[in-house]
Amino acid sequence: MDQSKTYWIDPCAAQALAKWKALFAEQVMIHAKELAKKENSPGAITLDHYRESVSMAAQFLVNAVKDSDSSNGRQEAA
Amino acid sequence: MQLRTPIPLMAVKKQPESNSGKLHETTSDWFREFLKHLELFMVGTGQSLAANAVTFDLSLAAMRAVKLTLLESGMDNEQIRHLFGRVAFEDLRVADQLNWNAELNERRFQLIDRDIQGTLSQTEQLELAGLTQLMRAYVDSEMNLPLEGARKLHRLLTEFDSESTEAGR
Repeated sequence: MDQSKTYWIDPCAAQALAKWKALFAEQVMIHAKELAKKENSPGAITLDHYRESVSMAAQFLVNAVKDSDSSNGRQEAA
Repeated sequence: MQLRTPIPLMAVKKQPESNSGKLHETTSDWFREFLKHLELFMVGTGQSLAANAVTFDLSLAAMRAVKLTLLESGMDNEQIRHLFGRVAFEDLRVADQLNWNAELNERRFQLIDRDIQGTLSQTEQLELAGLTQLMRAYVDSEMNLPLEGARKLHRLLTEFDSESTEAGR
């Protein structure tokens, strides 16, 4: 692979990445809040809560990206 | 496109004493939303940049995106000018302190005089806007409340109340 080659990024791709990052962060926060509530410590969200929330948030993101991908495909096909 | 949680800046500035050093949930939500919109705007402001853009060009594009995001959050141009002016001229290494003093006050009056004379440069306009914002924040802050006077008045009223109760017996 040519390491010196530079790339131009499609604005749609850059925008999608920004939205995915925000969606992932939002999901981490939502799940962490639920975990804190379950532990009866609703006032404090910790790094452990965030760590535990990561896999669920990642799965949510994967599904959301897949869904948007298939809906785009349907739109293009139509 | 609207920021989902438009929060006035003053609302996120003060945290409860017991949680100092921690980030409030509302603040975190607002920042996350701000970052998302900032990145989306940066896609737009960055598109015209050349492959060999220098740091100044990149910073300018980033600052333009910041302004667009602030406009999106509900601020107007005047408020943004005050905000930029304040950040540009305050010392960010001093942690969240409203250091309003006689020197800054005098400088503000100098700038107002020059503004009236019509000789204010663009940089000075920003400085004046920033100093005005800093002064208003200081006037509105707890630091400026006449707490000692209020306590004295409360003491007097409490004493007066207990004296009149005893005299009535």
